[in-house]
Amino acid sequence: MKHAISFMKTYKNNLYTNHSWLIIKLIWVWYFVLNLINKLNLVSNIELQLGACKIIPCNILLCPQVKIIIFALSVLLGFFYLFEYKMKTVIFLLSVISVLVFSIVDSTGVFYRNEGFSLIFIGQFIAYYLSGKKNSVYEINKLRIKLSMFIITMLYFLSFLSKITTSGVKWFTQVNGFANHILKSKMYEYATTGEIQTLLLGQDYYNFIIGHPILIGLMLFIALILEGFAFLSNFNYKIAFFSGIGLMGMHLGIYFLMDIVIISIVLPMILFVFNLPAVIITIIDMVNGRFISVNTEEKIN
Amino acid sequence: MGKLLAINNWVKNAIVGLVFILSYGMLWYYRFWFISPLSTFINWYPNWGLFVWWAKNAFAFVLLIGSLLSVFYFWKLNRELFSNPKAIYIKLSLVYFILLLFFEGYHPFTMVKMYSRLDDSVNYFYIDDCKGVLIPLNRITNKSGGEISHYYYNFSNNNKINSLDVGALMWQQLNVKKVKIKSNCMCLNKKTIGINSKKELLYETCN
Repeated sequence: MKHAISFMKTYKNNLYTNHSWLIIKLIWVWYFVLNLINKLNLVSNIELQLGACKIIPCNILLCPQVKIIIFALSVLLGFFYLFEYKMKTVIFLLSVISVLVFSIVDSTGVFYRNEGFSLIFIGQFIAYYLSGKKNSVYEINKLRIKLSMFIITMLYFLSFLSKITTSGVKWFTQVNGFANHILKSKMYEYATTGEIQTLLLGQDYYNFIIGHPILIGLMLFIALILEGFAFLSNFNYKIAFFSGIGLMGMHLGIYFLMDIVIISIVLPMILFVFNLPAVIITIIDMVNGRFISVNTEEKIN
Repeated sequence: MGKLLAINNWVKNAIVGLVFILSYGMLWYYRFWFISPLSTFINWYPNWGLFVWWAKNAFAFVLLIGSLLSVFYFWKLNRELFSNPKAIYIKLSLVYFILLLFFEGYHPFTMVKMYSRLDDSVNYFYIDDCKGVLIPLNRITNKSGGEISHYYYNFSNNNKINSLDVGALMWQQLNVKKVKIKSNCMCLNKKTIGINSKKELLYETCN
């Protein structure tokens, strides 16, 4: 128990340090840049005009020369973000590029749910803007992570809200529908690979779900609660830690059953809510004996 | 007037909230009527089309101003609450929710509708040789089964796209490579699983 308390105290101490922020930045911005390049590279024409493409003629942005400029600019901004050079301007530009490119990607007709990227950059821009003001009461090292966490938890809450408003609170009792969706996911995989094993696995999953309605209903209920109450993470770091573990479990379940990973939500959840870099640094601290004792708030060693 | 100004803040907030719900609610509920073009109005009301079109524009404008003003007054009424540094979260939530009400579906404004409806019947899409033999997508395109379903739902739900063109547009997006197939034909199919299982041909092409 003492070790657990020490771990949590050390973890709290590491949440907003420069080391954890550096790791967050490294993973976050480079994943974003590579994802953006990859997604935009695959777009050759757009059928629907969605989001920003309703206002801007997005087809112009699809010519190879413009694509190269966007790629180069995002890589350059990625470096600036990493070295914290003109952060306000850099994050603002990254937000604009994110909104623009992902509007183009959505306009192809496939929704990859990249809203998390754009919203977090907007949130970080607000954090830098507010803390940069004269006599600001905000500390940037905390606000940039707290606002990012807030945005992610808000997205989970919206997902919860859409389930409640669409299907009602009985959402978690729709086990038959859930079984059909699992089967459908395996059918998608079968249509993609042609491997008959996938189909058989899907049928096994389907039978298991239909055969265990109470267990599956309970799992769906837990998932609903995790989504609905994720926003409590904003009030307490311990809630954020355990909520992060719960949400990771939920996403792991979704991945195994449905082969779905919404990276623009999962990645920031791991980085900002669970704060994996802080966990890693805490483990290193504990291994090296640099932990915070139960009785004191000071770091030992 | 003095009495009106002295009423409890909660009551003022309730009035402002009511104005917002009524004005925004009407805008949302009749959105398709409000965004219909003049030509449609002339079809609907042959003698009064132009007059009704202008009247609905004016009405929509009043509702829009009503909803925006109520947001403004809500902000003004609760200025003290919003001046707390921790209220940044409430402020941002409010701004996002209000923008979401008007711009849902415009990236990055989303309700994250992930499996919000667990229907008893679901569709999946596949390509075969038109004789029932499956052609795996990874042989002919870099798109997956999941991506095809996104194309289907987004094209079918877009009122600018004719429902008869959906299959052809999906095929175009798949960017299918030329491969040797015995039957020389490829069919894009939709299959429903669940209560009413059925198969539907969406597009067929032959060499």
